[in-house]
Amino acid sequence: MNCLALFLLVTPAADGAKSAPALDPLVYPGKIKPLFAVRCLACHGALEQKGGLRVDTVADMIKGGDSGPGIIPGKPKESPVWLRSAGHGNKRRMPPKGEGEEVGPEDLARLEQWIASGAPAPDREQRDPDPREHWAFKKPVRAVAPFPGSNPIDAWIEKGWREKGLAPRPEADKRTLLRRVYLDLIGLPPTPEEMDRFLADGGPDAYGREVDRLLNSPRHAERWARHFMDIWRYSDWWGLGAEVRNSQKNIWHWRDWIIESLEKDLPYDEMIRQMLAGDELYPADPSKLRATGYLARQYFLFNRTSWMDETIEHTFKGFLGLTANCAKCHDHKYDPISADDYYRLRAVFEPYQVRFDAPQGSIDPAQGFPRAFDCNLDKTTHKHIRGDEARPDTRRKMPPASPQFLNFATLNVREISLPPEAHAPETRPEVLELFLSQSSEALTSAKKRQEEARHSVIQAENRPKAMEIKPGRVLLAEPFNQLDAAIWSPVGPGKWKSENGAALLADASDKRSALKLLRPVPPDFELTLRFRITGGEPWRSVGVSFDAAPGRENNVYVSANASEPKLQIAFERDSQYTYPEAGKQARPIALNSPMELTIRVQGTGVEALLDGKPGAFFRVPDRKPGDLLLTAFTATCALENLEIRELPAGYQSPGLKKKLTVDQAKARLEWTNAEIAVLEAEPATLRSRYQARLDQLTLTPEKSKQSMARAARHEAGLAVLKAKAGLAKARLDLAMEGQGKKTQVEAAQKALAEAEKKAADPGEKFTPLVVSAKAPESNVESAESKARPYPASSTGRRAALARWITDPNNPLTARVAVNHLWNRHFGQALVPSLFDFGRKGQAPSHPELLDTLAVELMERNWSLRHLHRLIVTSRVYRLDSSASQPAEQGKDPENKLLWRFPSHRVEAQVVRDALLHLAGTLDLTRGGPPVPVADSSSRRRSLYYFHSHNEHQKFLEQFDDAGVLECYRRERSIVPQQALALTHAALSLEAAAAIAARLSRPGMSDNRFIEEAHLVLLARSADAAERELCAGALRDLRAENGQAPPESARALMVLALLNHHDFLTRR
Amino acid sequence: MDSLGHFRRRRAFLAKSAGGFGSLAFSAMAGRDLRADAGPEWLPPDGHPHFAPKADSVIWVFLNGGMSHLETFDPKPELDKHAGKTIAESPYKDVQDPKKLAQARVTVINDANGQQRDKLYPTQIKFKKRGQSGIEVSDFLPQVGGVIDDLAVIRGMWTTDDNHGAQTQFHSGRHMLDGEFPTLGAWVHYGLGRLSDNLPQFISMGTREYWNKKDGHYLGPRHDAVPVRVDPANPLDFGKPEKPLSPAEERLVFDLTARLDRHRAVAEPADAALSARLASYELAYRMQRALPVALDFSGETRETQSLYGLDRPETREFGMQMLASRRLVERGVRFIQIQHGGGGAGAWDAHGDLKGNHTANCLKIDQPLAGLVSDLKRRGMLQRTLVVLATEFGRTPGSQGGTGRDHHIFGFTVVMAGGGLKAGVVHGATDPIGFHAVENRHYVTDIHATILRQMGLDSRRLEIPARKRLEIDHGRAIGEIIA
Repeated sequence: MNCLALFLLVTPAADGAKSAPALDPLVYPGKIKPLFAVRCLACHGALEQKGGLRVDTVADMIKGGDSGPGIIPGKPKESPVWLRSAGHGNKRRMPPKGEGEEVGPEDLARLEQWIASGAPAPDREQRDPDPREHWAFKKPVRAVAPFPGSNPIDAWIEKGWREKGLAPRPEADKRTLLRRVYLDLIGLPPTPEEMDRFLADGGPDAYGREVDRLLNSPRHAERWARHFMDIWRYSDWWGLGAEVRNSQKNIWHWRDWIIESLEKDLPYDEMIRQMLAGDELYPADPSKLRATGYLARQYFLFNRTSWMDETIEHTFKGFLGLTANCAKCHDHKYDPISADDYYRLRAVFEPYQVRFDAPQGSIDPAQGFPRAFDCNLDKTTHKHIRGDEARPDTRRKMPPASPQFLNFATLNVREISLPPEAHAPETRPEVLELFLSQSSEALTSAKKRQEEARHSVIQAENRPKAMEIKPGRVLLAEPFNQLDAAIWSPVGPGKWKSENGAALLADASDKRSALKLLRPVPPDFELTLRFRITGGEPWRSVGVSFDAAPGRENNVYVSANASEPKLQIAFERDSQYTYPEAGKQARPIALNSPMELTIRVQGTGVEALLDGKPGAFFRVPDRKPGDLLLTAFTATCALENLEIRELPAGYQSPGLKKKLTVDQAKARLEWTNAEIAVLEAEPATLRSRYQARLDQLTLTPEKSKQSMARAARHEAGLAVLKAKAGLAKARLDLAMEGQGKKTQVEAAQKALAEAEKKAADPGEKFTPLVVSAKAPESNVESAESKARPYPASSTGRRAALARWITDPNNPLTARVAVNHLWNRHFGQALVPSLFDFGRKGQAPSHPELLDTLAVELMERNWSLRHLHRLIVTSRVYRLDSSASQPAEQGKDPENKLLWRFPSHRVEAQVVRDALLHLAGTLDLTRGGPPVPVADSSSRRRSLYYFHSHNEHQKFLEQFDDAGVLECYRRERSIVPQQALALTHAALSLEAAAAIAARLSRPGMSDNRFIEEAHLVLLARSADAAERELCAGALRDLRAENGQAPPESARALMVLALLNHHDFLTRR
Repeated sequence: MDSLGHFRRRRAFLAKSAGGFGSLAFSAMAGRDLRADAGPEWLPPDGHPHFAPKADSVIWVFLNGGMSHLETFDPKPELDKHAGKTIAESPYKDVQDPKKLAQARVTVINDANGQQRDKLYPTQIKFKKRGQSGIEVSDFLPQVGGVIDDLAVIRGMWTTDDNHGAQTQFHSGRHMLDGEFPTLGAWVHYGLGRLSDNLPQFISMGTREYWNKKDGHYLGPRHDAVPVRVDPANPLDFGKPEKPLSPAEERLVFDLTARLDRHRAVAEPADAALSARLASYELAYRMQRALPVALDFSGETRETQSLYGLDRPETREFGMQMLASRRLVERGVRFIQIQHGGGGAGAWDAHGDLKGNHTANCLKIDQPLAGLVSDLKRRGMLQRTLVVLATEFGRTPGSQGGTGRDHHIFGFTVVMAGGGLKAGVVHGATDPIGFHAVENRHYVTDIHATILRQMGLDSRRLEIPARKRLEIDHGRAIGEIIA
């Protein structure tokens, strides 16, 4: 056939049937029909027949459309289908520009040849079915199970086995099964105690009891929360530097809502409603408002269209399995979703924005949870021509609506009027009390500062005048005329000798060479070292180390490194050196020129001077006594003189606060007095502002006028007091920092004058209290838009969409949910294309089962827990996972029909959590702000890590952590970095040691240990070969590290088991 | 000693099970990436090129922030002639015809940067004809000028993102607002088999703060670049134990796991994930030993080290990355991606003081880059290694704030070398003030297509179901520069 096709290609195009060569009958079905499918069917197929033409059968093409036949057999150059594809004639080329690729020359030649030879069609060619008849667009019904049984799942699974003649695996052994269901339902392996309890329970429903226990555990809610966080694209905020560009801060409130909802088994449909429209359905319930974090997550600072596009795309993919996003630029090519539908969906979301409401018990919006609210009620939506944002079709307003083809219901949009506490959260009852108590706390602490200020005035007045600073007493003077072994002890490889009044180090080493001082030095001291660096490569560092002990010391040194000569204060703690930027000063350092390094150490303050010039000051983390050493690192040097003295009397580290003069102390007292005046006047202002806002919302304008005027008066009065405090602060700065601050005093005086002027005529404009803040609508939002109060009503569009999605007649929602659940339980889905249930998606492996479970979910009030129980108690879930059944392997190698449990690698979170759990160090603290990714020592469950597009937790990342842009299915890669992480991470090494310690009992034999380790880590006994391998490894390990305690070999054996395939696999 | 004994025993074990599980592990290893659970309907590429490749490896240097074409590879005397005039006052006012500017796709509305700058700004450095070819290169890059006869200079580039999202656009071919897509390195990694069983095949060095540190995107994280530091002591994440663990102990641990898993595989021969995991231990074990060796320059002569500028503070950091790149290519790494110039949106982002900025930045790359090209050449490696010098966009002919140039997407330059490309050629041109690419215009994916063609790959055949790529994503190979 290939030869023939080639032949056809090289044959010159012939016109007319006469000269046509014999045609391969497979050209039409094999080449031409697929070409039409890609290029033409979207507009000329079952979905739509533009110009009355459809091309899904040859008969239809011959019949043609409004302007006559599409093809005339035998006459390609008169057939519009060929002419339009070739772009010949005066009519528009097909497919039109922008809607599909041009038909290439090879295809054109083939098409021509086929028409020329009479356009032969296959027998009984069928039209494509109407897409509205697609299985997923029809309501699921519970089919009568083929075999009666207690669990409807097993009947349908068994049907598949019987049809293919597959013999299923037997039930998995109890240990494997328990580990499987633990990892699945709570994301943690069973402990030995839990395993024993299960094994000891011989009751008929021991397994069922375990399942119930797990389903009711808070650990279950955390484990499955992560599943839904994948699908719903949970992400902490990201941007550039401190600028939030995507998602929002404090989004973890939504994560906590997900966990709590699962723990309560909140019906799945209700979860969807709260996430899409919690603000419209429960406007006054902050705990439910957190759910709209789903919408806050979609936030994108720079481009509203991208924001809307992602919201539509993932709402439809995640909840409905529809790729509505494909209809952004043109009608959907496969499903009956039009581009108009797409923009009608956009209209549903168009009005919403994101804001932060202070959580209960707080008035700080910065601590608030991000939530959705309808902000721009009148914002119109226009279709973008070909999806181009720059080309809105302004002639038409797109109304909010659901996709027309899913016509079980239409959106029932009703505007919702909001209670005052929803759109003006500053009027909530507790708000005033919170403001007052914050103010009163501020007053208390201001009074404390006032007391201190008073005290420092008295101190300053009674202090004697400062004395001249005199050098301190000399403790050691060392001219290095000789190296007295009673004073200096060489450390490290280099040889020191005294020559011409200097201590010389002639050979450089990359191990440090040093002279250790054998005399005590007081904690605070001054030291001056005169020396020359004479050579070495590359660092050429010479200096002083003090408080030196194994694994810790403080250093001051001069480095004559070619690229980065410098003076550096550094420190070592836990064998880790830190070279702080703040302790560094770049200095030109020449070889062989004499230098004088002076160090002053006072407490943790270390000051370094080079050649008398101030160098660096740095505060080391802490001090502990140790040795003093003169050090050289990859350097040779000549030390010429050393003097150690007490610190000069009255010396103060540059980092310490200076003692105040009398004027300064008085200025500070003035300032605290002024601040107290502000805080004392504040409560009355807060009360009147609160009341005025309340009155404004509840009384007639006439009646509220009086309280507004009073609030304005109070505010203006307070502003005067604040301006006075500002002036006092400026005067304090002047006293502290000198004349440079003079202009600030003048500015403060001017501000005071203005505040006084305003106070004389305060008017009626007042500032309501603020407990909520809107996220910027874009990077160029206007000040007017920023200041606009929140609308008192909501469009009700999202509530309508949420009701439509969760309508029991919606054919998709329950099916999609079931499929997601199944996917996580089995590691493979019933419909493999998780986010595409449309015509381009894959067909379900067990359609009746999918439908039965979908109906079951809805009939059981959308209880996910019910579905979990049904699934994990089914027979198919409990099958052994071994693939070693050649007959079945041959018939169904992909295990599509589930003749065995599909074992699979556990998720990243499970790997890390399991390590900590088995080590006994897992921290089960729940909820709250995320753990920073840099904190690798955290023992919290993995789902609490900060998780964003830009920040990845390193360990989790190796095991395919969820992507935040889209994660309908976890990747399950197996790459070398995983073995490195599991062997090298502190997490694994510590876990291995802790697990070995927990397993070991006094006098325990290696054999016993090997067995226990297998049971706990792999949930099975070791066989003879495994015992032998492990025992051999223990022997080798002990031989290898001689002196190390015997447990360390066991810890390493555990480490090997943590890398074991069975540990990382849910068998 | 004992360690060797163990190693021999392990080898013997593998040999004994040849034809059994060991050979399966080895064959999986020798193949391309290890895929534990491929979907049933469709299989990824088999690791064989689609046609005979001309190049085996790519060294992809990307200058973060936007190198000025006008001060490096694209001399414009007309700019000096009309300096100080607005574009409208110059003979070239038609460059600002709105139709010609329509390609810009704005990410950040009303951004302070990414604007057209009106007042023509003179070239900040002199150009000289260099080499046999006489191609002009500015005095900012004298060493690169010295190897110009080995380079192909592509002067007609254009892109569409007027902000630094163009960095990701250059790597993936798609505008930031379209979402995230696999980068070129990921496609190469995805399409081609391994050249080495000891090293990761796709490596990233340098800083890429501005954009997400992922490459594979919908191809999956296994196609992300492995970030490597040029530090033999600590070259990659988890590359060395974070708690005390001696090499001998570590080897015993790896050994035990592998033996246990191999034993398990006897009972589960059909478990593909298990065989993939076995192979991954082997690679992990070899990788952590091979990588430090590849990054240890002590065996390089002083002359070579100084050829890469390792002896000078300004060129040392980038020089080490270049030398590491050569050593990695030598050892069979496919794709090395080096992002030069961190901080903010990229070190090359010369909105102000362009002269100072480019003086310093060019100095950092000039010697090492030229050193790389000449070193590859004298070792006979340049023929099979593609070197690319790219940047997200050029810079405006007009001045920004009197001393800088803004982002410029309408015309800029990319330089390539080796891998079967022509040498000492200029391809394409911008107009006389360097505004629009006017001759042989190329979108960024044309660079991708050229590289893929030289590597024997057809991007259309790499496409995966449900991820239909656009025409422009595939680009068109620049036939004129292919030897």
